[in-house]
Amino acid sequence: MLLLRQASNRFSEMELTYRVEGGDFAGAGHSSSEVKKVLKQLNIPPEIIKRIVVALYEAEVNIVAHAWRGVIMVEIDTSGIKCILEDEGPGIPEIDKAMEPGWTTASQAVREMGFGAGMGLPNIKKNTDRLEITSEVGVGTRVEFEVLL
Amino acid sequence: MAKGEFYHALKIERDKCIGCVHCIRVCPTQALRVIGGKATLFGKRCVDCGECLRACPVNAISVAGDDFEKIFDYRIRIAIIPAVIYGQFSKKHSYQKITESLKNIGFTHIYEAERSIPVIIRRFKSIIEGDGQPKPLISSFCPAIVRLIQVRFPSLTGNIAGVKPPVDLTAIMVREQLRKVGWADEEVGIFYVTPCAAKIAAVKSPVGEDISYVDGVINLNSLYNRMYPELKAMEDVRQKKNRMLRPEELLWSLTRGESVHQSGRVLAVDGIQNAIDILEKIEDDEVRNLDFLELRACDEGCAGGVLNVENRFLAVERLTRKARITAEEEYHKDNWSEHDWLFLEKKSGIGEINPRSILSLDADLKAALGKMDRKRKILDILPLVDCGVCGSPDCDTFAEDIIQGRATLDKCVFFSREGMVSTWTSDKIKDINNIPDEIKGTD
Repeated sequence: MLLLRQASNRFSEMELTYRVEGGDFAGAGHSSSEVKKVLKQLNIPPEIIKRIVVALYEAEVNIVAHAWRGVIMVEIDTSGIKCILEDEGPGIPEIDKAMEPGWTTASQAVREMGFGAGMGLPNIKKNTDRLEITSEVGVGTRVEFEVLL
Repeated sequence: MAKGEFYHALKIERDKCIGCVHCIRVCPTQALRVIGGKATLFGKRCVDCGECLRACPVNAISVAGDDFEKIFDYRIRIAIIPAVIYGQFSKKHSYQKITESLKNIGFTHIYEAERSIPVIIRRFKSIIEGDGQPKPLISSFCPAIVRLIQVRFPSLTGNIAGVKPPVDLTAIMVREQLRKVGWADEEVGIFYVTPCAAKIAAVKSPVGEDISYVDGVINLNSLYNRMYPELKAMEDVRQKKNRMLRPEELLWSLTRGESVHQSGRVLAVDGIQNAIDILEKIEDDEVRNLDFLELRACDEGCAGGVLNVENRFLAVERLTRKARITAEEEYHKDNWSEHDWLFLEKKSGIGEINPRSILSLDADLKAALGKMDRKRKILDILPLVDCGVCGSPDCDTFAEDIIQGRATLDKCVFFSREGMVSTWTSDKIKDINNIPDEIKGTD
């Protein structure tokens, strides 16, 4: 859900915040479409918009599929677009493995819904200029990535 | 017309307009505002879809076709008609009678726009088999859709098939045939009978083309009024053999008319809002492995065009029935040789379709960020009821109009009643004290 009223105070910099609920597969993709609308208005080149939208969608689906709830923050300034996704959830025990294409911890039920193919993090990495993941098992995960302009 | 200008077939008749805001709210590109009590069109945003015309309760929006009398400037007067014209009349009016009625009112030759469909099918095949075309290939058939993609989905302009519409190809072929038998170009007038506004705009201000292949455009509904008395008065004429359209020609402009001829994963979507929804998904990369996308701005395809007379569903039923019952030996046999078809295929491409985004707040990112920040601050205090009283279609667009210098906050009725007075003329806004008690209501 877009927190419409949360405008940034800093000039020439913008911050968008969205909440994500675990298990809400039907609503997944909402934040990436909202961010796309903003980026189009800012005249960001279409190739960059596409990379952000794809990475953000993957990261959002990760929260929906694995975590209990999370917050997405998007910061835009003249140097680039930064996305920070923080969730409360089971955490990732082995981040290196999670970065390998095809490696997944998604349940059979989630995979049957067409999610959890193990391509999430590799796809985010492919579309961004910087990716940092920190995670604590049983607490949650923080994913931060950036696409430079 | 100067470069950068766009011809629009939709015209607002100011004397009829009551400033009711119906039109501004249905426009898919936010191209309309009510200013000084009258709807006003922003030319760069309009895609000529005709949604505003449908929504107008007082018929103040019309489609500016050419004057019918213009056909008599030419010795050879060609009517290129859309196949949906055959869905406008009841089944007792045959193909033969309909084309005869067009001759009675002044045309010398009648061709259906869809006669050139075989070339379009060939061309699609070669585009799909070739490489370099991004997927999905989006049909270029509907001119309102092509313009919608240019202004709202600039990243997808490269997906649009570089193929001329059927009417242009048929016009090229007909002109070439007449040249061969000695007619000079200036003696030949080619007129397209259009079921919608967008096709007029496409003829007058073509996308990806420098010239137009048609000399004029006649509105289908105005032509209907000329044809109808002729049809009423006409004795039943014997149906000539070899006159009927083939099913693919008859149905091409309807929903799924094109997509059924494509292989792989194909999708057909009609209605401009539905088209926007699917284009959003494609832009977000949510729809993968789609090969072909057919989009029509009007519900039920061209049978739903704003200039049709008959109910769209009845028209579709007639056309599909005709397609089903026509025997193969009844199909028209045009005398176009393989050489002619090859000539036409060579002519079937169009130039690049350029994006011209209307969404960007400013070309400069720093300035755009500043404007966006201001826009969000304005949205923070707006009521978000999207009443349209300010003359902008919704609060979001109103906030944008303010930051772009097209409106001021005092136009919002939640802040000042004077805002209403500046949107409408003062005689429209009544003073409650002068209204009789019996119509005021009581608590």
